[in-house]
Amino acid sequence: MRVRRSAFTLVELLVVIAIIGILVGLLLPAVQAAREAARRMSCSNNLKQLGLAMHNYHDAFRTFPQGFGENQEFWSSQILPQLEQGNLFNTLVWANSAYANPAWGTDWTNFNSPNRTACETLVPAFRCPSMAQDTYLNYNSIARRVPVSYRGVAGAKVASDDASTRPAGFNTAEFTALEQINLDGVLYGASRVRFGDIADGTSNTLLIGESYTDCDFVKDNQGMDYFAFFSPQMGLWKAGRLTGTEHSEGLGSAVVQINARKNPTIHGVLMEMSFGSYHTGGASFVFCDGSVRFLPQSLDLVTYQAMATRNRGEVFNSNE
Amino acid sequence: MNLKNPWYKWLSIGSLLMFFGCGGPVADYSMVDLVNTGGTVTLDGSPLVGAVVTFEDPTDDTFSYGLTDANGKYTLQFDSEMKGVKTGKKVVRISTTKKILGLNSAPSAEGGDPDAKRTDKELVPEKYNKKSTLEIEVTKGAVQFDFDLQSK
Repeated sequence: MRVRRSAFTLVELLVVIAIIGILVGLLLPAVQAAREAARRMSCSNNLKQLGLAMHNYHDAFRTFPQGFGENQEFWSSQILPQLEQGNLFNTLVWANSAYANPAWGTDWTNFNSPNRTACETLVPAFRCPSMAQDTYLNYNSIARRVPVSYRGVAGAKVASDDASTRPAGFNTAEFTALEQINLDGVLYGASRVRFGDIADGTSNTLLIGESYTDCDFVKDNQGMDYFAFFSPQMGLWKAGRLTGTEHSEGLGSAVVQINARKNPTIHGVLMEMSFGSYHTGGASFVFCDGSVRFLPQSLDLVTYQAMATRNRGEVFNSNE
Repeated sequence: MNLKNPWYKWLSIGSLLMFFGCGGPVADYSMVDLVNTGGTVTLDGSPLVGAVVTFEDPTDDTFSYGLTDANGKYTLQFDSEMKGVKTGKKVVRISTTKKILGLNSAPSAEGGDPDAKRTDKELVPEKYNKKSTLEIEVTKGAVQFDFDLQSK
């Protein structure tokens, strides 16, 4: 005689496992999306901190810092005290590493100085949590160089680092290069832009934007590598002297659409100049008034370029 | 219950697949007409080794590139994540001194060392690189592009 035992049959067990499988399958993408949303917020927060640091710098010095200067330094090194990184800032040496200095080595491959140590220091405010890059990369003879996500906006039609490498279609007079001075953005070589110079209005002008940092990706002999504080390849750059390269490590422009990295019809030089992000559909920017907005990559190029200039007097619909 | 019933099998495989996201390149390469091609480069009849071959598009200055191997063979690369070359008219340049990031130079070397001394010698005459006269048309069905260079 059969005794009925209270237990699960194999079928019941399998059905339960299958139902759990379906539920997890449904839940997991949702959880991933929530994580990405959190990373995007964290990224906006980073930009907000950078924007506030820039404002505090302006309060102290009555001007925004220069985009880059004669000591191979970027704007990012200037605002370190405003980011509670005063100790790091105090170690920096304000002299060009390209000049022979026995203490540093004689050329930029022996760029041994506190400035190099700063290039190897992770300051979390400069890194978007969605950026899929190693924390430290052996780059440009700096063994543990820290890639970053944020770059200053140099202007609208800045097509390359060097005027000589602007690609066909972008090498006419209306297109500029980062090695030139007096560009139409807020941060560029030897810039000293004050609030008063931003005639288009601080709410309508871009200050710092996010970049699609992808150091190993190469197109048309250009890598998408972005770094902070110092760039030894800027060499002996001085205001008015067209020399050095890789100014694009710390500055970008609105010459092409946001996320140009995803559009293979665009030349690699322009791709390196462009802003973008690992978030879906656009990139975050901090405006000169300190507000952080997410601009879609479908943004009309004319509007985008109007936002990138400080005093061209364009009228555009800021809801876009 | 019949355990051989594939219903359960497909269900579990389906739920497993949901765990893995989609990979693949970031960029949308359907925006460009890419043709996978390559060929052989010889200099005075013998294979040219270690030469950089670039197929330049004169309309926008973009280019595809390849490096010749021990047999002088090269395949074209559109960028570091995609093979191929765009269709259309191209200017071909072949050089033994050119450096391409990710091909014969590390991407981490970008910007170059202004103090570096050049040790490699250009074996290919100017008419094939700086002042190239090699003009070709890449069509959809292109199979290969061989170049027989003359040093004189």
